[in-house]
Amino acid sequence: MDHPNLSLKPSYGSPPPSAPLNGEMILLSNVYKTLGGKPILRGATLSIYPGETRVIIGRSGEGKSVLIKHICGLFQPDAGEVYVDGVEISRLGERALTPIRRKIGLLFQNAALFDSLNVLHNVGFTLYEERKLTEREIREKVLETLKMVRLGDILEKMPSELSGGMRKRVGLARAIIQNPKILLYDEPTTGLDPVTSDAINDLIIKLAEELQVTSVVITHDMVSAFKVASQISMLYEGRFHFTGTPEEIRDTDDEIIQQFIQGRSEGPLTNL
Amino acid sequence: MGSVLSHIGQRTAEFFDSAGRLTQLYFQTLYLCFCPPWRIRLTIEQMVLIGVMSVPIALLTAIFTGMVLVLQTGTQLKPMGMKVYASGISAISFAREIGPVLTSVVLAGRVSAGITAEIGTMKVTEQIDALKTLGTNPISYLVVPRFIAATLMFPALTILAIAVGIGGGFVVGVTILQITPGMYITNIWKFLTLQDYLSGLFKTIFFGMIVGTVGCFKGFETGFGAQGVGEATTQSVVMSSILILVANFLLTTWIIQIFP
Repeated sequence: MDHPNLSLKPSYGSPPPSAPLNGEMILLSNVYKTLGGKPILRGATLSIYPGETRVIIGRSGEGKSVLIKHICGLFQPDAGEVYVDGVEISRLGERALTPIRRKIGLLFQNAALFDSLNVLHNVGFTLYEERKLTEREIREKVLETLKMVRLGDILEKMPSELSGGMRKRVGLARAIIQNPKILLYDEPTTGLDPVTSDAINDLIIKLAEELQVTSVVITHDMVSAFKVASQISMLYEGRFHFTGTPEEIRDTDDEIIQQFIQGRSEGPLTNL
Repeated sequence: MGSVLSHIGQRTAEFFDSAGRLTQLYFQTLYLCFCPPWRIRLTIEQMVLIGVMSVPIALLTAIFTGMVLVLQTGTQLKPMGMKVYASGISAISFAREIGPVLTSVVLAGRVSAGITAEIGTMKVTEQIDALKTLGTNPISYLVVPRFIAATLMFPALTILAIAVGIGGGFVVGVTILQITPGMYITNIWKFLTLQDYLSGLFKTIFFGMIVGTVGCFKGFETGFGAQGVGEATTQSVVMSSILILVANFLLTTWIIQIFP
């Protein structure tokens, strides 16, 4: 059976708070979050289905990173619910979150590699923590994972010796080594040159196909968004303003979306 | 007037909130010290960073303080013809108070600042979040090894510092105060007991716990950017030093009742 979202027409505005659950891999239902006295998410509702690559776009400070941190349990909503793989995680404690987090791989904006550890220990971090494999087995698994992100034998290099693109790939290798069901990308192409950005985009597509993961990509790089997305959702004023395929978002008459995707400084987004 | 009271009220609430979270971290850490996985390699690394690397500063502080202490005590006792007692009196004050407290306060500056800066930088670069998403408890991975290392290395460094401080005093006593070496050592043996030595060392176990916990706590509480790390580091040193002095008073009050 097709997923319900595949037969939907593009939707404007946030859908009404969903009743859990209708086959979603990730569901955010009417999520509110205030940080430092500033409301960031104001009733955000989002459904993401297994196997899709959902790109979330929006201006800086709209709360895209806050949203992704709700999905992996780093933030708890002030109100609303977050479901991941059928489990409501918004009220879970750290210990109960651990098995959920093991299903999720997160590529941080600046890769967030551990400065004091070399590539081997960064990528193999969870394997060393579990203590189930021998040193040799961990090295082999790390090398294999590095190969998946198109990196060679750089096991002994420290994060400070890597370029921006390599850091992101190492971060990605660390995120996928445990075969997650969900991959979250926080601005994967920010700070990279166009060629390296395109290589990262290719990796996102390749990993989604090879690992059969559900991917959520946060970006304001529209080239990247159009290339990798199966669906694009735009976050605006703390809610989802639009959800549709790349073609639908390109063809929409919505002024807010057109201003954002064309990168114009004049328009409703800036005339507040 | 109203705004002043409101400000005082807010700061008081913040103080108790912060104290509550610090206490919570202390007990969580204490609990996790007895839970696997045992991170022996990380703990040994921290023992080297906190202990071995602090040996020079601890010993330099101790030797000069020991020399000054004997010089001052001897100079004051000289008019009364009692300068020979300078060695014993100085040894007691060094073993019971000056050695443990001074060494711990000096170490607090180095160790607490180092821990806060490291964990604070990890926080602002999202490495702490990365640990959580990889299913690792940051307290177990970051705090426990530092806590254990500080708790073990503070007494170890204090043992060295007391020995070196008394040694420094010996040099000054013999060369400047002209006390004979035999008389100097005899008076130390006569005055100083094992209890003096142990009561001082006992306190440093708690001082190590304070520095380990506060250093990590302030690291986790770091605000944004380089400025946030700088502020947290300063606060960490101030808080550790003050807590050491307060804890010293409370522990001494208690110890004196047991070993008068």
